[in-house]
Amino acid sequence: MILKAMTVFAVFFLASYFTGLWADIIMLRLRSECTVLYRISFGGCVLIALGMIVCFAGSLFGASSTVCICIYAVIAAALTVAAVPAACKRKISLFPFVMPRFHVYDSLYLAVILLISVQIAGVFGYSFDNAGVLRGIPEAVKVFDSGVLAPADPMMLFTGSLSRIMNVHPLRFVHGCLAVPLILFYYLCTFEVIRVILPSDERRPVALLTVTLLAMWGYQSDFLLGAALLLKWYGIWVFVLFGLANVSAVILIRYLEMIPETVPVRDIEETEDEDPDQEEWDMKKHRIVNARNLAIALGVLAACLAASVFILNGKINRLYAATVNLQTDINSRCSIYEFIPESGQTEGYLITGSDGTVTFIGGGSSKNSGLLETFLDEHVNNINIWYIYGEDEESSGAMRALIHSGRVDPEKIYVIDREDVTGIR
Amino acid sequence: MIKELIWQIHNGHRELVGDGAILVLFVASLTALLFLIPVKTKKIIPLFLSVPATIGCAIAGFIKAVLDIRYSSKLYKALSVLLAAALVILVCTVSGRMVFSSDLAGKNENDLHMPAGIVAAGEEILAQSSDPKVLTMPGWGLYLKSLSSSFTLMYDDENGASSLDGDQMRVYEELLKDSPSMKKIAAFAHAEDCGYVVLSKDMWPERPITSYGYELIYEDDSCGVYREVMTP
Repeated sequence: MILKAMTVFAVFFLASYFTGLWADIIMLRLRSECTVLYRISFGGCVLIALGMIVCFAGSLFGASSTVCICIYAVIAAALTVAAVPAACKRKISLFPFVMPRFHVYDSLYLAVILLISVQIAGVFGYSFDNAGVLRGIPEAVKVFDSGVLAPADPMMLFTGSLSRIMNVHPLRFVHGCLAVPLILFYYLCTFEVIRVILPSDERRPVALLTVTLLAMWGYQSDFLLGAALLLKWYGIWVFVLFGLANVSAVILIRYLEMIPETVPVRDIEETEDEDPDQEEWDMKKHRIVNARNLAIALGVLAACLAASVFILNGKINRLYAATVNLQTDINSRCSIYEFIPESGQTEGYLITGSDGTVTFIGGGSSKNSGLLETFLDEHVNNINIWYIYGEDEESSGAMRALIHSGRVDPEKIYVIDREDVTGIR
Repeated sequence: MIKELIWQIHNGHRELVGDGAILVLFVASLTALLFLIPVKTKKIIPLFLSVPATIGCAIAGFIKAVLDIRYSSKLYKALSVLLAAALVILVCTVSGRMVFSSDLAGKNENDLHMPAGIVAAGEEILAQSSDPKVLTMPGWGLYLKSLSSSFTLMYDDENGASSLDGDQMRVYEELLKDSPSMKKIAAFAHAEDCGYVVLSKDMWPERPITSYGYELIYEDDSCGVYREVMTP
């Protein structure tokens, strides 16, 4: 198993590195730089997306998982191999490593590494107290068991196909082989976005540290469980949120930066000869408190309020549901029912205790036995303790009839002495 | 009822943080990036794609802006180290305890990362039947289906109890009780031709299911597996 995990790790990052050469080519066209980390992020993203597409397409045509993985391997290998000459043709260095300069604030990266290590160690060493984490896994298990692909979550189809090829149960594959490469890969993707957004080096480690904390926060909500990197690193939503979205964001930012700023001719003419009023208006425009900023702030406030109302509404509904269920639970645990036959006179009481003990008092003569059996069928299965008012037919006939028919089997029967009770009063 | 309400309120802040934090943090982060940090307007549009990175950048920028009020390189360096230590301690003490269940970690000695009792129960059933029909506790079906696709569940509550039909809902509600009626559960299982029943050890039925045509074939601290008694 360790050998298989190491193979997955090595193959994934090596293939991602060379497939990522296409990222260099794209960045070259966008007149921007491409780091080694972005190369790996882009390559990994392409490889995973390709696997999902091939497996999902295979499921639509009813192909077997083995065939799909073979097709995937051929396409991935072709992409990887083709990237090398394409990069060399454009004079892109295959191994552009430079030693980074070390700053004191880079020590924060140690905290990031420590946190990620804690996450990975947790993934290996602990189980989760929420079965919902496994949602989606049955689809991968189905592929693993049968080898047939049916339309379902593409990520799970891909995972199931890989685990079948490697002959490892999907759960073992996810926890043993995928945890380390995927969690590291998603953090690489996130770091690349942070690097592009923040030009200043000193803020990057703090930003990455915040993201690692957020990744651990996701578990606090069932709604966000599917996108929690810590628990669902093998899920499609984590791939979309931490992989695809981040890699796409970097390309989009670079593309938008490439487009030159277009300044209208009229604006250029106006700036040449500005009057004092215009300058004053311009100052107002750039003040922190102006109409535009206020509108944005109000919009944000409105969004926060709407979210609060939505969340509180859900909370109140849950509280109501909990109260209703609790009342039902109490009713089902401890309750008293009155047995009234057709005569209209109360002939007995059924008491169910909070510990599940069922007690019956009375019952009457044997002519009540049929109605009493129906009454018991509605409420209980058996009676543990039975109190009767005497041993004669008038007081114990119904009980005797039910015992003889096998409907009830009381553990204890007590006879209440009417005279004693009357004497007390 | 009061105890339940207190429990709900106690957990409320966690769910509130989980459900609302990302939305509020994201909106606040975009606002912060607009006003606090000199991010070019063009970079704002792609930020909608990257929610965690946006929040991270905004918080980093905010911290930097606060520290810049009395900026000195030594202060920044010292605070950076302190901040890192504080964040790690926070994660290890608060989030870590909530995320990973130490209770399950002790019991979980298999590499499938599921409760060991259910794994053993599932393997025991698979050893006896290649296509078993199983009635089990609410929420446990996902474990069995994650173990093998051979299991056929008598009801599938993966999408919530609302997706169950009349009889399934009745037996589902019965299984949620502390003292369920095994007569009703066994009757449902017989009617559905269910060969195996996996029950939790936390239940206290008035009569065991062995009184209604099922025999115990496996048990441990957490669950018991019962097989339908077949008469020749």
